[in-house]
Amino acid sequence: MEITFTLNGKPVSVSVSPDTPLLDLLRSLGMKSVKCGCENTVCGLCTVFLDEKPVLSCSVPAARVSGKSVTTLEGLTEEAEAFIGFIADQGADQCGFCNPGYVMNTIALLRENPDPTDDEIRACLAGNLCRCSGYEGQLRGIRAFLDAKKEGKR
Amino acid sequence: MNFKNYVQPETVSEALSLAKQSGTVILGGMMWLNLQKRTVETAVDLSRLGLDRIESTPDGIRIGAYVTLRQAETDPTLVDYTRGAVGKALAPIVGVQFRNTATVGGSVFGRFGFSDPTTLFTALGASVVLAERGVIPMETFIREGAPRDLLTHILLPKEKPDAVSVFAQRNSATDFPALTSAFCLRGENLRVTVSPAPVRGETREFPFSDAEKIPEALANGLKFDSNRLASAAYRARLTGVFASRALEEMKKGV
Ligand SMILES: Cc1cc2nc3c(=O)[nH]c(=O)nc-3n(C[C@H](O)[C@H](O)[C@H](O)COP(=O)(O)OP(=O)(O)OC[C@H]3O[C@@H](n4cnc5c(N)ncnc54)[C@H](O)[C@@H]3O)c2cc1C
Ligand code: FES
Ligand code: FES
Repeated sequence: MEITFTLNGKPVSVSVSPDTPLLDLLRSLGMKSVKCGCENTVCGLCTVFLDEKPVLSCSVPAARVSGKSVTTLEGLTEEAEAFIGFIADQGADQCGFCNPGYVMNTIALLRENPDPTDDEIRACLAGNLCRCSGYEGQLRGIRAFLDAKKEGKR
Repeated sequence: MNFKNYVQPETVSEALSLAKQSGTVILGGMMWLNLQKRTVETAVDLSRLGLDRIESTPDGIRIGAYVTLRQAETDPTLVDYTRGAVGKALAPIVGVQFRNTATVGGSVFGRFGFSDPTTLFTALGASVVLAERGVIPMETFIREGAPRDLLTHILLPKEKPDAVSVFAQRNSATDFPALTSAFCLRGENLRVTVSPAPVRGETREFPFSDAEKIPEALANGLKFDSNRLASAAYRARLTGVFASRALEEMKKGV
């Protein structure tokens, strides 16, 4: 079937099988930031925005995005650059495989709630699993970014 | 799950006639369906039926089956009606991205014995609206199911509860609950739903004046079973503890 949607602000028309997951379609279109960890809605690695809301692209049929807008990390590099250095400073990305999904979800959180508490950050990132870092570094990185923003350093 | 055709009906009656055909599957958020390794002929997407709204009506609150868990959790009308319990019940389910896609309809229609939303809605006195069978109490639906029907809405009664408490036990954050429970007080009537997976949820009503007896009545009177998450005995114990905590909260608040 033919679908047309907006990918990172640009219109795209492609032919997909009725059951192609959005994750597979996006990777075939070169969006390699979108990773496959579990295929089962558990790990958060495949997070993208669908009409500005974070969703798990492994569980969304590509057919469902027809007429909608999809954003991947490739479309949000400027917004991500504002804080990923703070996360790197904490040594919180090790193998880095979880990073794009977790950065996407952090962007979604900060758009909705620019000044979250630590508990709000934990709750929002609960669905982003990381096998290396133990999560505390990620939390410290986001906190450091928010503190720097408040002090006018960002 | 694999499928050969993907259809997006424009009306409920069209969707119902598809639901009745063998070889079709109704899609909610697909989070559960995705775990199944099978191929079906046709997948039916409900996104064009206008079932993605939460509305106040003269009879109460009407929740569309295609409303996502995240929408329900953050909806001001539902948050107010449940006195904040909807957020407490739904926010621990996996992660925000998951709840942006999983639907209320898929959660209820699945009749899962671990379902936090179903447990809360049942305790609140909800009914389900089925395209073929009509309006039936959620407890009846949970017991009997409605094969090849289409769930369109969930109705919550007009009278706002005086107090609502929810408690669930997860062995680790984002895991399935070993047991989930909801307690809803209206006047003197306390309505309790306990869902002790793997057994489906059960509902009991008590006069609030019998508060002292309720924890034991629930722990001894409901059916519990064991699985990898918890033993039957632990679930019975949890039920008593959660009932005591809920009553404590309600006594403080009422
Ligand atoms: C990893 C994981 C963890 C989970 N953790 C929890 C948890 O902690 N607590 C909790 O409460 N739940 C949990 N769930 C369940 C989850 O929240 C959803 O309830 C579940 O995924 C079903 O919702 P869905 O919209 O994805 O439905 P789907 O998977 O799309 O559908 C589920 C079933 O309902 C049918 N269906 C869907 N909509 C309709 C309709 N309108 N009419 C008729 N039939 C319909 C489908 O055909 C299917 O049989 C978990 C699920 C997964 C996969
Ligand atoms: S690959 Fe989608 S949640 Fe893990
Ligand atoms: S840094 Fe390796 S999975 Fe997160």
